Amino acid sequence: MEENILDKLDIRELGRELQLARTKRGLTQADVAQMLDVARTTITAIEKGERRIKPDELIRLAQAYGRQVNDFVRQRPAIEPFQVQFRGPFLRSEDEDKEISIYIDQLEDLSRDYFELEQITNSPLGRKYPNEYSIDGLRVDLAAEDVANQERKRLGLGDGPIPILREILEQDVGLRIFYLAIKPSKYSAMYLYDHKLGGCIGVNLQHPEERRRWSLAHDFGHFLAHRYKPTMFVINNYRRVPQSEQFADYFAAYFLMPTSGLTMRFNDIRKTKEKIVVADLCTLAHYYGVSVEALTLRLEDLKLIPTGVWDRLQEGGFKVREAQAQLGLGDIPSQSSQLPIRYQNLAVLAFENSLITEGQFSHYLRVDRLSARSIAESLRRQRSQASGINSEIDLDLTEAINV
Amino acid sequence: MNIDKGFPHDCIILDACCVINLYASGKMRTILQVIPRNLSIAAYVKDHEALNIYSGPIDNVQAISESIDLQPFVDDNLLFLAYIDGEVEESAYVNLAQSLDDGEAVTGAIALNRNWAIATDDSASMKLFQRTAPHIALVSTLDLIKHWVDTNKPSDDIVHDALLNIRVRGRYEPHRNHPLGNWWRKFL
Repeated sequence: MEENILDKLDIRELGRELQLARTKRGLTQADVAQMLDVARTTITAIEKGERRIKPDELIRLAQAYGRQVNDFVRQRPAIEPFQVQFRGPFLRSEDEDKEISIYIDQLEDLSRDYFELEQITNSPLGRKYPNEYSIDGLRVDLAAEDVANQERKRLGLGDGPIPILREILEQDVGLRIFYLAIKPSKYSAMYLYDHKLGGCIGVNLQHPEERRRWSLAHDFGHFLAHRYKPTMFVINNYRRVPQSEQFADYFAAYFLMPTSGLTMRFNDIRKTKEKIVVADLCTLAHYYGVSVEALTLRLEDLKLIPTGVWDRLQEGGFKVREAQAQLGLGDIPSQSSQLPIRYQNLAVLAFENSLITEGQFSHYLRVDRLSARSIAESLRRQRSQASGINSEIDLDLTEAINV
Repeated sequence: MNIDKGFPHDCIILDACCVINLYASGKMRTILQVIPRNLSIAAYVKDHEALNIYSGPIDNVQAISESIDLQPFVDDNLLFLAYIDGEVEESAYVNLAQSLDDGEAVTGAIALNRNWAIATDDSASMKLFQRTAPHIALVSTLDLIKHWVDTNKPSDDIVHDALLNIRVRGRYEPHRNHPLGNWWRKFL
């Protein structure tokens, strides 16, 4: 066997990773020193990169932190920890910190693994990022509409609905988008930017699809206008909504429901009927993949319906889901797997080319080995079915095993 | 790989892929019984890696996931649990973990230090061991099963069922260049 890897690793970097892993686990240096039966100063020295860690110490630390030794010794892209990025600009209470730090860590791990898979397979993510839009001094709503229109034009989206929003933001823009089961549900999404990873978004998987789409568009707005400012999108979080949040909300509305297209479709409906009814609002909302509330408020904003319709609907006890069911409006089509399809494909590619082991493959996919095998098998089958027609097909593999 | 005459190791340590495949075959006990070497598994692999197989009805096999229970094999001395022991193995574990998952690294570290063979179906692991430890013999699940077939001479139907179980319940299919690929395909 070759020489000891611990003699070759950058001990400052390793120390930093160990310190992060310890704090993520909620342990103090004293706790860890006691576990390892060493002086606290030894842990301090290891974490500061002043003392080389021994193999048995690393094995025991990995166990204590619920991690694999592999996590600390394999070559991983060094990034600025997401928690650190969130600490400054996003002021949260201690309780909120506790609630969401686990999801910030999840987003960091997944984004980092995604980047690592790209390095392993030599398949860098194509970034088609526009320059950050400057909206300083502009009226927020007007700026948001202008940016939304420019982005629609840049991405060739016309003025219709965007049924495959996640796919467009992942593939045509190059954002890293993960769906995370975030609790409590007041957290809709989080966005941050790392110069290596690019824009990363975590959307709350537990929300209905129309709300996830809104969160995605909202955070895309942050990416466009406030690229380097991490944000946590929380419903009703502010007494006075900051301008950046106002912008992101307006952007989501204009991007998902552009004025020209929505006005045209609304007028088409009005031409055929004497008056617009609630069923029309439900149908139109479904068509655009947004909530009935978002659609109604947007129509009010456009003065296509009277102001206060949504308030009156609410006061009257209007039940959106019941109305949609009566109208036979099914679920909005969604691509709601935790991992991007491209991420899954890269993992399978790496595994099939023996660049990673089965254990690593299952770790990347966040499933057990058997499920990982099923995913690889599904891809093989789908690939063989697709062979001969020379088409690229994106298939959600985790759905094949109900992950 | 012939695990009879001239096989250069006293013990074979099974990695997670191999354990899942053997367990899925439904014939693990009888296969382990005929292997003329000690058989071992790293405790880490038993506890964290070789966890389950599918056991639903044949037309919807993924409907039920069954936990792999190796304790009966351990209790009957068909399988020995191995633990990382001593500085040399700890160091090898950490070194191997640079390129392998922890279960695979633990398995490799034990095999390297104790001169045991490794039973694995993982191409990336095999590549690494062939390069870094060419003196360690690597055997596959199919090597072990073929040895059982050659020794016990079960009927073709029994072999067919065992291999089909591996494919269906373990979701494993040998690579097209596997040395025993034709043998596998002959039964399925």
